[in-house]
Amino acid sequence: MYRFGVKFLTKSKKLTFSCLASIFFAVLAIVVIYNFYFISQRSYMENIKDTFGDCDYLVSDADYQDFPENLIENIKDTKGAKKVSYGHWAYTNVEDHLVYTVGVKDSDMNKSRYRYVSDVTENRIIVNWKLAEDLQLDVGNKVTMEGMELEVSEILADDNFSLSNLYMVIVSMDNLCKSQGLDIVPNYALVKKEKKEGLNEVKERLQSLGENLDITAVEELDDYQKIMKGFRGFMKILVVVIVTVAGLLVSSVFVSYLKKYQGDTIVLKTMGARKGHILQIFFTSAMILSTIGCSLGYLVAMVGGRGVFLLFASELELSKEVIQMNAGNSFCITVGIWIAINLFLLFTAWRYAKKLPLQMKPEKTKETKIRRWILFYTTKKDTFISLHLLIPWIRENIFFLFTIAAITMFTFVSSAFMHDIEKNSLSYYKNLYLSEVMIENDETMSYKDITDIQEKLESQQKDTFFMAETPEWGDIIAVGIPDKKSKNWWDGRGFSLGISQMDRLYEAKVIKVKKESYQDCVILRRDVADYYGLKVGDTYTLEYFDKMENVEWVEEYENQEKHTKDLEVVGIMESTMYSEIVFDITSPLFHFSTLEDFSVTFFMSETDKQTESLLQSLRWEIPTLRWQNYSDVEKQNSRIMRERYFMIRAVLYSLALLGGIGWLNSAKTMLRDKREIYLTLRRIGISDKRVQKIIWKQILCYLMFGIVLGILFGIVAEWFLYFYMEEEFPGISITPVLGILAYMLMLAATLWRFVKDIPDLERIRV
Amino acid sequence: MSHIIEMKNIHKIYNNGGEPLEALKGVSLYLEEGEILAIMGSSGSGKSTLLHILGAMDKVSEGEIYLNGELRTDYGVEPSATRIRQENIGFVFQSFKLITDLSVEENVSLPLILAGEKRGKIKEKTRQILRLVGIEEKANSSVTRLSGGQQQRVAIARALIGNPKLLLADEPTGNLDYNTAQEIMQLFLDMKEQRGQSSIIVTHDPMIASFADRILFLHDGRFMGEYQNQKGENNIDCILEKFRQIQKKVG
Ligand SMILES: Nc1ncnc2c1ncn2[C@@H]1O[C@H](COP(=O)(O)OP(=O)(O)OP(=O)(O)O)[C@@H](O)[C@H]1O
Ligand SMILES: [Mg+2]
Repeated sequence: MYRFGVKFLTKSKKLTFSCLASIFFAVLAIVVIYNFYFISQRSYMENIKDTFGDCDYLVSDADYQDFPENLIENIKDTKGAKKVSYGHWAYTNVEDHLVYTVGVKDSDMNKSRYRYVSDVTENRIIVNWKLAEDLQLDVGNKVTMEGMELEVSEILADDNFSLSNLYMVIVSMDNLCKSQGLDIVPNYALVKKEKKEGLNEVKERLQSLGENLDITAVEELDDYQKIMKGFRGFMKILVVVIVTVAGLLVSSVFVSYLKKYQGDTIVLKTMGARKGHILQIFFTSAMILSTIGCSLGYLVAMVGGRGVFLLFASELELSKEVIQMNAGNSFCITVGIWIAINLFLLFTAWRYAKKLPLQMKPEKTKETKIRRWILFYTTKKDTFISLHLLIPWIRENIFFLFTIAAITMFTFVSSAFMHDIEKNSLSYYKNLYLSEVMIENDETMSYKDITDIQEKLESQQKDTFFMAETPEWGDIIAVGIPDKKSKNWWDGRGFSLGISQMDRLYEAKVIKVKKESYQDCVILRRDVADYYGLKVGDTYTLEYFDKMENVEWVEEYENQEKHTKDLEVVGIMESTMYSEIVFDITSPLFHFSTLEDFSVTFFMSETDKQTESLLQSLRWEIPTLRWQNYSDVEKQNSRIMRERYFMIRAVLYSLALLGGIGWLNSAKTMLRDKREIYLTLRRIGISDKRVQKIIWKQILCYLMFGIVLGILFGIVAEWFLYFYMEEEFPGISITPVLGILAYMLMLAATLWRFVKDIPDLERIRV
Repeated sequence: MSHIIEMKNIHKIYNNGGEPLEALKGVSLYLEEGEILAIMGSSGSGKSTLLHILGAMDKVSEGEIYLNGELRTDYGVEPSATRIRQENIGFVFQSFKLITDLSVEENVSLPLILAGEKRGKIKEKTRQILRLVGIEEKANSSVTRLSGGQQQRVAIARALIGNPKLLLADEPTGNLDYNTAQEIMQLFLDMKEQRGQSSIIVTHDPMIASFADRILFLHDGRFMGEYQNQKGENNIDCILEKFRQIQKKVG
């Protein structure tokens, strides 16, 4: 009996091959994606570490003071601290530019933190590309830093500083401190903890070394959390996609394998075969197929996976150092798949083995029915016949249909999602950037400082304007939105005061209402406007009290006279960055010159060389000044999106590749199975062209069923997801599915010869 | 002469789905050793149903079946049906039902392999039977490369290899041309003469029926008549005449 199992395999080469191929690819895909999951997770960690440094904590003094003696020693001795790197940072004068300067003591974690590769030795300086560009520096050039001549040894290609137009250099800590005339003392440290230690425990221990120490755990940074969360969700979806599709594919191929031998098993039973015989035959084939398929898949995944990951490392955002296949776990997964396949096949074979011996009649009545039916309809509509013949087939091959549908659905949904995510993140930036160039400063400023800078910038760039906010309202105390639970206004949300130049905002098209004077106008943030139910053009009534001296509790204002002022709403802003209410600087409510502690952002439509050098020189007063162009942000954003797109597409398209081949096989089997019917059509006098047309219609319908079903599923899934996320439905676009459609059509086209031969009466023996 | 098989008052009612359908309404028959019996009838008269029951592939609803003179209540009931088929019955089908992935020799030896015969014996018997049906030289070729007539010969060889007492054939020549059909029928005759093979052949072709010793006419689940073939007569015309008479009688 085992011999027959083998014989069946060697005889129907194509089916055996497609079984093997589907197992092979399923194992390959699952093992590769499994490894990919871990590699890219590790890569992500690496990438994040590139941004934040390969360290767990950033330690500095809360007031930027130098570290006391022994602190570094103490950190090193802290239980759970594995490694410590440190240095000194300061602003220095490099060729008459104010430059953020890092003086590193050692290279270890500093390298990953600041993204440089060469060691910083005596007389060496590493510059970021922004400085290199503006000073036209090359490796080997000499530059002067605080009167000290240094040689450029490396130019940083992608540092975070350059992106914000900040100059940055790296020198040795000794050189930095010497050039500044300081003692050689560190003021920051990077700490890596032992893996097994808890993040918070070590943090507390470090904190206990000094009250004034500022300790930031990298993992707790919002950005880090956000990136990791997004990434994990993304990967989980990918794994689900692959396992679903691979599972569907393998089952469908196996079902067609069993189907092919269904007739033969029935004959065998008629010849006196028992259930055990049939099971033996299928069990042999299952063992052979799954063993060969799984081991090949495993081997190729192990050998080729690394290569593929290395090849696409940059597209997939993988860092090359962590590309390593996990042989042990992958093997376990492969064994798992092997067991699953054998169980599945044995179970299905059991059902077939139970089938009764040959009973010809029901088939025959069906045949005659079909024949009569064909005669009836051929005279009318071919399409109808094609469909009618197809439907029972589709019911039997539902697995294939679902495979194609699943791939289509995932392609459909993922591209809609990616599109949406891209749009969302862009619109976030769009709301942030009131104009092309955004200039920020981390430190707060007084109103006087703001107007000074505004004036300077205006002299270069006429359309400069600013947006500033402060928690203090100067001479008045404004009533914000009261708390839901308590009726007292002071329990509610206090507003921070925003100011801007509304005439400029109008020119920059941020607001749409033109006014002679904006002094009684106000811009509301979206949530505030929604709370009061106000639109542009409505009147907002500000309630406020005159500020009293020496009053500690806002409650005390309750007995004071409350003033009101009607203001016209001229704009509503989306961004959550600015204050709830923005007034014009001509507003009579405030004595602006007395206001302090503004966080300010300047905007302008473009920067030229002069503006740039003005901005750079402004750094002497405000070292933390940084600026960025919207178009650069947009570019970077779309680059990240393109990487993700690539990944999803790569996965989906390789699945589509497999699914397509499986589909092609099942289509062939279908045509072979229906050959009798086609021949009947020919026998009753239908031309061979017309039969071919009917066949083609069936093939195309069989193809479209899956894709259309996938699109429908996709729309439903999308609708559900958006409903769940309470977002607006993004609309439907089938463009992403066109690739799959084209591929499937191409596969269908390969059936050309096959189809041509089918209705040829001479070729097929009756 | 003893009866290989005998059926008494067989009823068969199909119950699957819809209304119950009585395909056989009290059929009795017997088959003598070395006899070829043809069952004729129009389409839907119950020929195949009868043959299924004879072949232990289906249960009767009512009636008695005697195999070698012995009443078998388990006829057509698994698992003994498998044994009965294996030991007593060979099948030949209209569409040959060969396993296309196996060679001629393998197809023919299948019943012996399933019965667990020894290898050497299988080989020997297979050669012998292939010689008998006249396709010895094709032993190793694939069955898909044979002509229809040759394929049916393979099927007959397969049916005969287990030395069944009873050979059942449902329209064995339905897929073959006139000349080939005659050759196949001649083969049935040869088997009868050389081995004393008893066969039941279902057909609606008088030419095929003319090779039989005896013909039973089935109509709507009942036997409506019998015809004993005489040597030297123009059998085909007589059979056709008899068939027409019966048709006329029932309208
Ligand atoms: N498995 C089945 N289930 C239900 N009804 C059946 C089944 N097999 C046969 N029949 C019905 O029993 C009746 C007799 O069928 P049977 O196959 O015996 O006819 P037949 O004489 O062989 O016809 P043909 O010459 O077309 O082969 C028919 O009406 C048929 O529809
Ligand atoms: Mg029949």
